[in-house]
Amino acid sequence: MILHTQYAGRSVITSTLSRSRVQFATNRLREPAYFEGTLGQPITFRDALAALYQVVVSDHKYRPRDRVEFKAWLEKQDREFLAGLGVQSAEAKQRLEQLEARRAELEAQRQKRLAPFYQARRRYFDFAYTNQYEQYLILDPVITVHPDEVSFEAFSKDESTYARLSAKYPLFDEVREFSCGTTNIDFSIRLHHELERMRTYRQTRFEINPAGFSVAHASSDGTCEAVHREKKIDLPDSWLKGFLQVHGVMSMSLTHVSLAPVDLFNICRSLRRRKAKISPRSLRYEFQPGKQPWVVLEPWDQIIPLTGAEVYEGPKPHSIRTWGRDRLQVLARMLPIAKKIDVYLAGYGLPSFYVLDLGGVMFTLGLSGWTDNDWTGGASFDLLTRQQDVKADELMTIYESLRETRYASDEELSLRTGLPREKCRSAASHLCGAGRGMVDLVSGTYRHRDLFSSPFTLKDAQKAVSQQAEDQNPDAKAARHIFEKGDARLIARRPVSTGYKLSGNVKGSDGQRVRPLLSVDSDSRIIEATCTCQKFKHSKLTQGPCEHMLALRLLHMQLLEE
Amino acid sequence: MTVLTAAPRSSGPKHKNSSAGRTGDTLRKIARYQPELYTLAAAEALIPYTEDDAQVPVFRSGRFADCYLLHRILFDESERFVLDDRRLRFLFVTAKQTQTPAGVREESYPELWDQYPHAYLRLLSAAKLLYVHRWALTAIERSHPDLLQEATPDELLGMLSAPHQETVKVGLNELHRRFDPEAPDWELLDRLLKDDRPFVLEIARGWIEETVPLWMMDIDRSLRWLQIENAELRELIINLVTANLVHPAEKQLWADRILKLLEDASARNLEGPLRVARWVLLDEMTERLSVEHCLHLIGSESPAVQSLGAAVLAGHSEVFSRLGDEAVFALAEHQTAAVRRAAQSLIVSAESETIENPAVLFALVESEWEDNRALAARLLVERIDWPTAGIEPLLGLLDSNRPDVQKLGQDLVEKYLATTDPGLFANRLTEHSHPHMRRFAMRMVEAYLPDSAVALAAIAEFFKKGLLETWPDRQTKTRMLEFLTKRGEQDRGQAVIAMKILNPVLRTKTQIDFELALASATRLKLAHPDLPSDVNVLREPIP
Repeated sequence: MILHTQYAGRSVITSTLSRSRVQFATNRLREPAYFEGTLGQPITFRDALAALYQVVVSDHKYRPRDRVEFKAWLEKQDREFLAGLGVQSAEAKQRLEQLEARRAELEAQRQKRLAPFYQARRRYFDFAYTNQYEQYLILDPVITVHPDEVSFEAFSKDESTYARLSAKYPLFDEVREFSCGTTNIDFSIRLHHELERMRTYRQTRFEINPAGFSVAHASSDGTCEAVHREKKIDLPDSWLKGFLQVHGVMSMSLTHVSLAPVDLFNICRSLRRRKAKISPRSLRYEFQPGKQPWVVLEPWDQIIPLTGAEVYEGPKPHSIRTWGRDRLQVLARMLPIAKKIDVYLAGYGLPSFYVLDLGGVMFTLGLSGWTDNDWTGGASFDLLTRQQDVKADELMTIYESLRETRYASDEELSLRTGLPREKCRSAASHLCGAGRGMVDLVSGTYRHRDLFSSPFTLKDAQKAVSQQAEDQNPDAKAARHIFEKGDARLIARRPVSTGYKLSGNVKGSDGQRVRPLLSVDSDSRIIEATCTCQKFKHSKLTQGPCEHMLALRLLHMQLLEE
Repeated sequence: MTVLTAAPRSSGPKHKNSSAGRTGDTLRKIARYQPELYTLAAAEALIPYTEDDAQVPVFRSGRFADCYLLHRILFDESERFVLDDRRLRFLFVTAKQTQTPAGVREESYPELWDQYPHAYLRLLSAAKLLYVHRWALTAIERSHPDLLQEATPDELLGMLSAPHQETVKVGLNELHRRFDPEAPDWELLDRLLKDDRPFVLEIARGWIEETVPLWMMDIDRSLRWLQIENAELRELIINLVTANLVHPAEKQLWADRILKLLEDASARNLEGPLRVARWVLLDEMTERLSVEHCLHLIGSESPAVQSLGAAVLAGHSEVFSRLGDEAVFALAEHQTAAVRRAAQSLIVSAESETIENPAVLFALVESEWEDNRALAARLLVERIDWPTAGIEPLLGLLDSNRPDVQKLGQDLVEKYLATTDPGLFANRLTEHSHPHMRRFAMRMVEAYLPDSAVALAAIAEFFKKGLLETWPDRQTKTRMLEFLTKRGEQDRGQAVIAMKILNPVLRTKTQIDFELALASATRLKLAHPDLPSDVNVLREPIP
């Protein structure tokens, strides 16, 4: 998909000695969202935007080193060695050495003579790279103006990290005017550098408008015309799907831990000080009943106590491992000013979210299960949740209601639309999956956000409700088949404070009988699960639940309905 | 093997059915019915032969045994060869006689070659076979010693690339003979300039240098030569024109012609003429081009045109005040170096304007271009009255993201800070986000931060950021802790602030940071025992 953006001007920051003006140019091809206000805490906002930029340009994917030059050098050494073997006489060897030395000397002189050329060429390449990078590779953040906040959303270059920065209106000394909507903003490396010049002693005006900082030039007939900057970025499908998946995961049942900023500082500092050369390179959250949780940095087994966390009240100890921990470094700059950090963990090898409260600015960092796994790689983890069947007209009702209020909890949506709360939640989840809404982890609400410029129609709603994960995923299909054949048996079903504990015996599609164990909440969302099948042994829940777990859950749901 | 040596086997007399045989027959018909064309046709038939068509002579097979048509043209009257009709191959009658006998002409129709000798020149200019060159040169030497004087420029240039050194030599001699510095052959010189072979261009270079006054009288030719492709020769011509274009009347004419060329939308490769205009016709161009016209030229796509526009613009007076500092700044940020230089000269000449409003200098010092930054730095030092300017301009420099500008700011601070409000300066400097500046800011804080809890509380975030920095900077951290301890020991108000800053650091897992922070907190606690803190000091003696 080619993302076509057009900006009337550039996003710039104009700093004079006494005031600054931050102007974000928005995509002219989207709805005209705008905002104008005066920032009250420019330093906080500056540091958060800098972190957002770090997310946008970060790329942690492993790429093997290009060894072409080394191999060529190695071949040359081999040739020289073999040529040297053929030279027998001492005189010839000496002469050869002299010639080699002379050649090295000449080469050094040549390098010295050409050094300015190489430097100039490198500067040119840097310049060209920066420009090309901005033009074709930087995925401009998505900005949404809400009635209570302005939010910026972005994905990293490797599509494994999601970031959302929301500036609450109390952050602004004055909010002059705004119009709610979603659009892209022009974001460049130069802009990032200019952001660093924001200061508290300069009044900072913050503007988001389609005009941006317009540069006009004289046309041949003597009039002035604005220069439009256009970007055409080949947007990977995975980027788009990732955007949709993030909010799907957020609506799952997540394990919550609160951290003191210094706890995360200790983690970042330890990770920066040394590099793990052997596996596992995970961050392990340990929960022991009656104790504060702690983090273990593997493979060194370094324990970092979580001083800001509450005592774990769960019934039994458990641990959650997450990978791709180096991505947390983007938060390092904000740690000294962070008031509080909330961590939301989806499970073993599943995504995790870090929400930093900077006082007026909330920064949400979403990390996929591990670095090489983008958000779409583990797409089936939305099977852990259970969505009710929603009709297209109900989805449209919820969409219109959310669009009107801009943000609302499932309860509020239920009150406004008269639909059951559970249905509202499922519908909102569908809207998130269709790019028409998002989950705000901080306030626990759903927000209206049109990721696409085209309007949301009944046809889109029908498409959204028909594309249920269960219809697309082979495990879900297999589970339905097993359930309908009657190959799933419930051995034990025990109600607990969080929902139910289920134990079963399921004959899989390969004919093997396995023993899945599930812990589900009252909405039948899978909280914990194990199985004796090969898939679970290999990848735990990182690829989503296996067919046996899903079949057992279907059986449980049928019993509930009965 | 070329088509001329091909000898397909077929029924009947084989040569009649081969293309070479048919061409031989055609040549004979030409000789019979259009004798004036025979030699030229024969020459064209010989030209495609290359050394690859020859073979190693073996016994009765000569080098050109398989070259049927060549034999028909060059050896048809020879008694040394006999045609092997079955294989369509010419063999020596006897292996003992392989060389051409002296004084014997073996080519067919020798009388036609004598009557129409121009074909020899064609062969010398285009033939690829060494033997053909030798044969043609021998013939010219023997019967037509003045024939070379009839050679066209193209033929002479062709001779210069001949595979036979003797042909090249003959061609060069003829070229030099023809050159008259008083009345050069312009057509020939034009042809030489279009050639891309180095030794031909060397001849052209010599001729151009010798005839400068003559060709410079013809402005059209000179302008044409200023647009030639070869950069080295074009450079020479530009240098010669700029050195010799001195007469005012001549300059006026040149200026008009160059402007006309500029208006011609189809004109290409204008760098040469425009460089001449920039170097020696600037006054004339300034008379003819207004400021608006110059800006229009700068707005064009060609760097050469942009450079001319910029150079002429810089020659106008009062441009800085007319355009305003924003427009001049935009010119100074132009990607063409000549435009930047022109804008720089405008800025340098606008001394009073930049002293009154130095905004353009502050903007320029942040430029992407090194030359702009260097100039702006120099002018800032020279033109700003720093002792009276206050702290804002100094902060402006220190706020930069560029280390070289920060360094300039630091140098100026060292010099002039005493004349400003250093306490306020230290306070504001702590908001800088660049890691390079933290150490400098710390130095300023140590030296100038007012001794009060309010002042310390105002920069608490600076200390937090320094102490909770994940990149190691031991020196700054140590100095921060020492500073906080000293200030805290002085009065309780500052101790409360210092302890608030230290509390999170006491929970760090970095051992040295923890120990230093603990030592600081202990000292504060000892100085103010009732200070609320995470640290408790036990005053009981250790048993």
